[in-house]
Amino acid sequence: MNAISPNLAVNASDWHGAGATAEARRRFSWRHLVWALVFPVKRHRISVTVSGVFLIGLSLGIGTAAYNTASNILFITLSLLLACLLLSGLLSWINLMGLGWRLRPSRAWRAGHETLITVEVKNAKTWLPTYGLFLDFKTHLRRNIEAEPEVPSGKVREALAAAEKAIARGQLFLRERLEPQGNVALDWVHKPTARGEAVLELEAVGSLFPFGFLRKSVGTDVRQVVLVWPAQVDYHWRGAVSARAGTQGRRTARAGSGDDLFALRKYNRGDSHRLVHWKASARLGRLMVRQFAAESLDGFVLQVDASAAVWSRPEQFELLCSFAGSLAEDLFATGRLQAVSINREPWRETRRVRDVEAFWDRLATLQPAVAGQAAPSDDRSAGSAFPVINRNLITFAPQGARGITAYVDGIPTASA
Amino acid sequence: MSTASPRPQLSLDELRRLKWLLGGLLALVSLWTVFFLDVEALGLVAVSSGLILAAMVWPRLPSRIPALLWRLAVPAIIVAVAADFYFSAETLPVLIRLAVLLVLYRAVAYRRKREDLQLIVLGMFLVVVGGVLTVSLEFAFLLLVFTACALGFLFVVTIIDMVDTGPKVMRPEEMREVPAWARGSWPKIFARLRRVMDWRMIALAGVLFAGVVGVSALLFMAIPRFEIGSSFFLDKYITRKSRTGFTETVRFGDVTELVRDQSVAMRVDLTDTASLSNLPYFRLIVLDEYTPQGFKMSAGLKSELLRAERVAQVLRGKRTAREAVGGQWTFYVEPGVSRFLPLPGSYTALRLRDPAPVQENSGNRLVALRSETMAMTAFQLDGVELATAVPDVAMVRVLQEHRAGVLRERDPGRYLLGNLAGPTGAENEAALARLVGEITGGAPLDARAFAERATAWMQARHAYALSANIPRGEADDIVRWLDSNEPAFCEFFAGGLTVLSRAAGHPARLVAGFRGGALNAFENYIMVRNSDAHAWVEIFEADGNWIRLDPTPGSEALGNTNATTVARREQDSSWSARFDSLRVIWYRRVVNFDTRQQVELVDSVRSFATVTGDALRARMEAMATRLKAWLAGPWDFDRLRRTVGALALVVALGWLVVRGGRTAWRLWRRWRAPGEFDPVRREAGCWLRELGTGEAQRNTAAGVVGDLQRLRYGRRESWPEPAGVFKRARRTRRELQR
Repeated sequence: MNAISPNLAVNASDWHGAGATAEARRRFSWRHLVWALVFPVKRHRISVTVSGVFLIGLSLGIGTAAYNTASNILFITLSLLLACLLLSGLLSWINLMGLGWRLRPSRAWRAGHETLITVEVKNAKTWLPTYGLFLDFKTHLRRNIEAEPEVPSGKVREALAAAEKAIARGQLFLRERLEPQGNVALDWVHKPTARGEAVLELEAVGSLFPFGFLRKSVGTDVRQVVLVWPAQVDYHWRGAVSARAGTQGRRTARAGSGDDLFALRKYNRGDSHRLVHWKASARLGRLMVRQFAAESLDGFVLQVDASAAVWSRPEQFELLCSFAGSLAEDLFATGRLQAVSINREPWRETRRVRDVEAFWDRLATLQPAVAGQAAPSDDRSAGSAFPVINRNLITFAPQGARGITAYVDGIPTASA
Repeated sequence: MSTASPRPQLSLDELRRLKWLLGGLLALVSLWTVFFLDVEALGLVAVSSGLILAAMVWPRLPSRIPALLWRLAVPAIIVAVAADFYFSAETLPVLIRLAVLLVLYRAVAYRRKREDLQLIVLGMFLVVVGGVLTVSLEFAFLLLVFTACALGFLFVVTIIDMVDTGPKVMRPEEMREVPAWARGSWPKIFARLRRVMDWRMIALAGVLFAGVVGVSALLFMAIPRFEIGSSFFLDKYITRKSRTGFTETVRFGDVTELVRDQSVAMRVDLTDTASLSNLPYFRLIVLDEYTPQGFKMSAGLKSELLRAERVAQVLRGKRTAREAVGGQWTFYVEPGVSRFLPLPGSYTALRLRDPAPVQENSGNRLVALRSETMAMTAFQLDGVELATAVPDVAMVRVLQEHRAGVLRERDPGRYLLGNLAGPTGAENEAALARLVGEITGGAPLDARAFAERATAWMQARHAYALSANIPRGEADDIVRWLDSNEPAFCEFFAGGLTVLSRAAGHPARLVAGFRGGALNAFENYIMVRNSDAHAWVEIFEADGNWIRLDPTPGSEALGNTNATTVARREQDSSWSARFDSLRVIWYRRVVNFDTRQQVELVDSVRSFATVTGDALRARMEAMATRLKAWLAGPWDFDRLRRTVGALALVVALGWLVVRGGRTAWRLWRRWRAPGEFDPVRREAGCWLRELGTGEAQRNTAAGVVGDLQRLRYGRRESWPEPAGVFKRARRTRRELQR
């Protein structure tokens, strides 16, 4: 399962903006230009900065003085100020011409971890560089923003403030010049706070160029949905005394120091000569060494039951997701995680990192299941080729109002 | 972050250094506008300029100043300005000095964004005030330089402050630390700037700046003009002392200083210079009261002028039967000349640029502004007659009543009797009586005849010189000089004739102004310099007119009412005249631009467009007619051969020009950046663009496009034969066109 897999494909069609394709430039016509000046294009915004307000105020003052005194010197000054304002608008427009941008796809984020969001910008203009770009980002969890705000009617401002709280905003600046036909990649460091399905949007690409009077921005429709895995939590593990070593010595799908042949690989400097597989080396014409499968220690299977009847407190449910994710990560890292299951669904074996990530993907969007929604199955191995597991089954249960205890075959083993 | 930029870019510190440089330049330019203002701040400006220059060159200097001084700087400026306000009689000079101090403070201190904006605003205040008060041509130049600096400065500030998210203002404690950007050396910075510079960017910046100037010129001409009010507030807060001595009092010897001053005092722009056969006397001021030190305007005349004061823009004169000369006369009088307007003769209308408080006295033919302005004064005269006689009805009445003994003590015209009063005292009177007797020989003479003889007598005894040596004695200076054989200048000749005439019982007065001038050979206007300052006499004749008489040796003949025979038309075609003509263009086209000229401009543009369009259409029609006639002519082999040959020659020449141009362009590119320019890659790029990116094109040209891409982007070692690939590309294009 990979909810964001479609976003991973990067190709030319990911580019947005006027400079995304060569065809976009060719569609230029004076009629469009004049019309755009009269009636700005949708999502193209021009706002006046503090300096701009000051310039306009200054122009008004000088204009008033000019009309009051009929002094041509003041009229000249007024004309120069207005010409500067016009030039500012024109340069700002030229600056954003021929720009294209795209978001580099993100696999997934981890709540509480800093992540890099990369955006690429290219300047398709032939002659002129682009200066002083800024890019506005925003991200929010889908369920947060789409939920109806529970605000009393008539308090729109509070509703908007509540909605705004759920949105994380960021801004990136490109101080350097972006050369004609050049491109640049910018990174935004973002730290998601909660798991879920995050919507990442590149809101606008804009510039204060050239004189900082006007803030011109072009709204974009670049949007990406990214899963946010649960955060890592600290927990107390007492597994050494509680877990039974029933599955010790079992072969795993990772390279290690067991007895079973796992694979052949190229000889690396420092490898023991005893490991050289001479027949394969002779056949392939280069030195190959044997690689043995790792053997598992005490293997565990992890089952998460998200029944709403059990997890009535939302914060406790969030902790469950984080605890399960962290436990799965640690067990996998030590080679002791064999399979996982959520809501008594068929077991899914965890041989590769991708298997654990798929488990995290499920945890990212997991919601408390009301009665009848879950698909309980007594047969733990239904739909799975994984053998029936009777031992070292990790389950979770609330502990008090806030805590959670993990049980291994019913024995408390870890708590968070 | 990665970028495909091949050119180096300035780092943040280098940009900050550049900002420092531009800020310093901006401050200097704005300070230098104060040099054009006649305010007592020139020393302050010079010191401030030196400090700013030093801080610009050594950016570490501000960090060496203790933080306490930075803390005390603003309070000290406030105290200094408060004291200045207290002791100074004028407001605007104080404000200008305050602005200079603030510019200095902002320019030498390290700045953040808010302080940068403050620097621009303060600089702009100085430039605009300087421009408004002086309307000088230098203002236009400084305004352009200031605009260029300010735009560059704002550009750099915008780029820097995008990433500078710290505090917006600089604290005094921070001044002690030398910023990283201030540590480098200027040669390195300039070398780096040189490396970063791109000729395209410089050209674009130049074009854009020219565009700004052009657009502002268009806006200046197009902005609708209507006056809300006409009171100009700034000039109320500053006054200017006369530089040329044309105030209500002229002491003997004042003119000597003037004749050494070669600067232009005023410019006179005539619509019809051809009709002006001589250069006239420009009458400025009448000095009717004698004092032992010189002549001055009497209190009575002053109060009469004050009584006649009114706010007006147009003053109407009297129309006479004589022919007007010169068409419309436009005067541009430099600031500091006088509050009295120079008048060459009578006029039908005098038009000021704006309504202003004006004092007018027709009997003395005087027009004065209430106060002297800081800026150039412009006015126009219509229907000018260069008559030397000034009719004065009031003088006739006062003389008649005085002689009849019925003149009232409080008669407002009693001051006119001052035109009969000369040096008093027994010694003076005795000397003058002796001299008058010597001139007349005891015969009774009328005013004109006396003046002729007196002038001849003076010119026989005294030569002209730029300095006067007066013998010692008890009598007044002018009497002692008359009684000597010493040479002197116009003021003494005019004063002497006035004194002698009055002693002989003929009313006379001294008049000061300008005589002559040079015709500017470039813009065809009269340049009157301060060295053209002159004094002459007006003597009252029995017919009720004041007649101009110039007793100075070498001046016009006595009593000559038509001055054409004396003055000569001197043409000035020197470099200074060339520069001066720019100033008149500035005055004509910018300073004096008003609604009337705006309408005229629109009309002229419309008529130009119509005329040009008609002419073009007529030309096209004529060409079409000629072409038809040529085609309809008899054709034979020889004519056909010649035609085809000519056509082939034209095509060949065109081809050669295009080819030569392309080759020259490539050679230039290769010379400038040998590493970047590759003709094969370039041609491959052209072919790739031409073959297109559509689906159909890609399918048809799949093979050749791959090779072209390799030529365009691939390593040279992997290239296929370029000529063959381009040949195939040409073939593919033909296929696509089919």
